[in-house]
Amino acid sequence: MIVDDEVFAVLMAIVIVSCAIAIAMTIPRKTEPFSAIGVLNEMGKIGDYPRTVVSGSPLKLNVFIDNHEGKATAFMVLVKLGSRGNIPSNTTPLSSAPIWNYTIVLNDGGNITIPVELNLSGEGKNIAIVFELWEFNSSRWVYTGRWCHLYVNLTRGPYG
Amino acid sequence: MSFRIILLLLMLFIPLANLKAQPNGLEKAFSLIELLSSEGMNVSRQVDLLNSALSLYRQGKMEEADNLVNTALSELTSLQKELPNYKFWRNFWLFLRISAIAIVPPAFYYIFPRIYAYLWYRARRKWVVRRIR
Repeated sequence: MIVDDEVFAVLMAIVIVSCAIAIAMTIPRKTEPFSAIGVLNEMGKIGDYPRTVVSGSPLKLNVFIDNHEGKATAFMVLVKLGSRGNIPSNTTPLSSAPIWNYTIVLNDGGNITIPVELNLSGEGKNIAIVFELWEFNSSRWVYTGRWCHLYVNLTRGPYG
Repeated sequence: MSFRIILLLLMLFIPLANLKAQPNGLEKAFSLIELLSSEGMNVSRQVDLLNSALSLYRQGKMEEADNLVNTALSELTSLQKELPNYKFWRNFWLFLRISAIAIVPPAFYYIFPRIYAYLWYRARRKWVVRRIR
């Protein structure tokens, strides 16, 4: 044999390992599916959230939704009002009725920033504005266990 | 007389029943989008249509929104019919790709020494053999 046996064995090993890696990369893999929700301020940035809201005046925020479920998914954002100690958990959504909702369909890997304008009335301290993320899964709306909340103090205006 | 009352009630309820059919159409479209995209089919156009429909619903333009939902739903239904064929060809090409890669090591084992030998002799074809005393 003209090619040295040892050299040929090394070349074979390189070819076999390269092919094994190529096959592993060709077979489609299921990545860990996840979705995300985030509350952004009026300018669409993290931070500088309003702490005090005047009753009756619009509260402007943005909600960011990200889809990495491995498929196009319909999402619904529900905004609910809670209080300190009365916020959702990873398994249970808040029981109060939604005051605002938004439905959107996102492709896999897609995201969107939705402007939110809320009109809160009344008065109170540490009111939790809760943003829950729901998804349409197996023919029904399911709570994803993802939520964000923002504590605000609701005050009466100067003419209230 | 009672028959007329029943007929009148039916006429009143039929439009309401139609109105209630709209969210079902939307939910069916959501389910189909979920199913088809999880199989790897491209449903971007239908996603855009449904998002436009949702936007129109928010603006209160129910009729236009319903039309878009129906368009998306009919497109999704025809995509669903193509799904078995799509899955077959997807699996076929995947199998073909893997087979093509898997055949490389045996092919290399068989072909490489022969090509190397051919090139080795070809590179030395002008060499002259001389007897050395």
